[in-house]
Amino acid sequence: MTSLHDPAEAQALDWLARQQDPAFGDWDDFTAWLEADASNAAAYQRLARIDALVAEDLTNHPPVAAAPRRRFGAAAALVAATLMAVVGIAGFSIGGNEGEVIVTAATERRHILLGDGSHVILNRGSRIRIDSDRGRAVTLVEGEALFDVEHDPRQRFRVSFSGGQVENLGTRFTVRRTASETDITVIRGAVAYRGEAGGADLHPGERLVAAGKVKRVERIAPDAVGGWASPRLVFDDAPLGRVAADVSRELGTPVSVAPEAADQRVSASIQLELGVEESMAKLGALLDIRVTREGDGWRLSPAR
Amino acid sequence: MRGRAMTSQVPTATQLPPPAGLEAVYLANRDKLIRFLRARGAGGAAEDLVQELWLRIVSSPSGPVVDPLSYLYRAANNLMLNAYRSDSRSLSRDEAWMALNADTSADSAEATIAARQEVERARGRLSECGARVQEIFFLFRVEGMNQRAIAAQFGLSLSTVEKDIQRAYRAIAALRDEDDG
Repeated sequence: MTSLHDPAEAQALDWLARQQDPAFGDWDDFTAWLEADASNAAAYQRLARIDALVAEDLTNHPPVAAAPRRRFGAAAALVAATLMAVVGIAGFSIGGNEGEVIVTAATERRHILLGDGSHVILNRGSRIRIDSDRGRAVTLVEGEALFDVEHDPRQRFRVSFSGGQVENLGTRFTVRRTASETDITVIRGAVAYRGEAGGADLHPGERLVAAGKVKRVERIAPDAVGGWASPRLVFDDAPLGRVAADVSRELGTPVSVAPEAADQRVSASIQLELGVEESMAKLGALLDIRVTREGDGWRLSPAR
Repeated sequence: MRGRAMTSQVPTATQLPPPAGLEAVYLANRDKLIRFLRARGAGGAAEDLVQELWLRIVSSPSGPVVDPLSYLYRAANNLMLNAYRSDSRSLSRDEAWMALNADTSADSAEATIAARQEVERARGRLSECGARVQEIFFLFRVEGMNQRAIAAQFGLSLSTVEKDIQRAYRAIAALRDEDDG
């Protein structure tokens, strides 16, 4: 392990790590470093080469994790299991079952929770097919969806569409499919696009637009992506019935109001979350009302 | 194989022009890019390489580029890197051409096998670092997650994630010492 004591190698590793950042721009200093000593360029080239080879190998053969990680922990897994049970009984589409086709009307959105814990939020006027709920594969037939994918190094999450597909291991991104174009934007993580238009790796802040065999990659502010999936609802002295109707429409889940709360009026500005449970919990806390499950959906009642 | 690669890079009329402004940045910084390529090991081929790099960019349409100069440097850096991917000998002009035309070139069988073995040993060393280091390095290097996001996902401090990534890089880098020893 003599390389650990070799300053050229140690510095080369440092440059490699820094250049992983898409915003890296210190090329003048990097050039100066390369010129400073002939062994610097050699060390960098050697390490960059093996780094690239290993990265390619890791892409094709991801490491197998000792145990899959879940962002929301065991409690969230239980919630998911409960929801899946609800799906099984009521056929309610907040969970996506293998083979199921889910369609949204022009006025509604739908939150879909897959068996692996990944979220799919289907925008208005869209259609998606769950190819495999645990197998992490869906097909976007038309419209737009945001994918918030649980990280699983053992299995990629795949979204197919006419003319191509994208794959990733755990990230957040949107895919929009129109008659002539596919539009993919990455919010977090990275996705690999493969299709008629060739291949491309996309990172946060990048949007790929593929039309037939032609593709282009544009820069886009990551914050501007997928805002429709977690909109801000503003209520000014609104009856609780309207809150229920708006939230129901945005989250794609039935929300009812208890008769004794029907006259209650509220003023609030609520930024919805990607998850239905998180959104409903936030709603209860912000409006100081009781939010409980009711069959397939939710019920708003006065705080006790 | 090399002859085939030589003929495939003529830009055609159907291809889109490069993003506006990129050419001006290229022309204004051509000397700096040549200097960079030379420092990276291109030697006397640096001037030809920068020209070919530009033709390559012109012939592959892309969208607007946020930082054109950084984009050009990164493309130049990748060009030099790819020239060595399957062969660690010093770079000749032909090999630079091969790198530019990586899509159509084929590596020699021996070089492929040697690289394969090298990668297997590097992966072996990486796996000795343990599951967490491997997974963190994977997220950093392949998934493009930043260190702060990884720290949050794993519930670790930023410095622990930094150390894990360094450890992974060192494991990969140590391979050559083994060969030399």
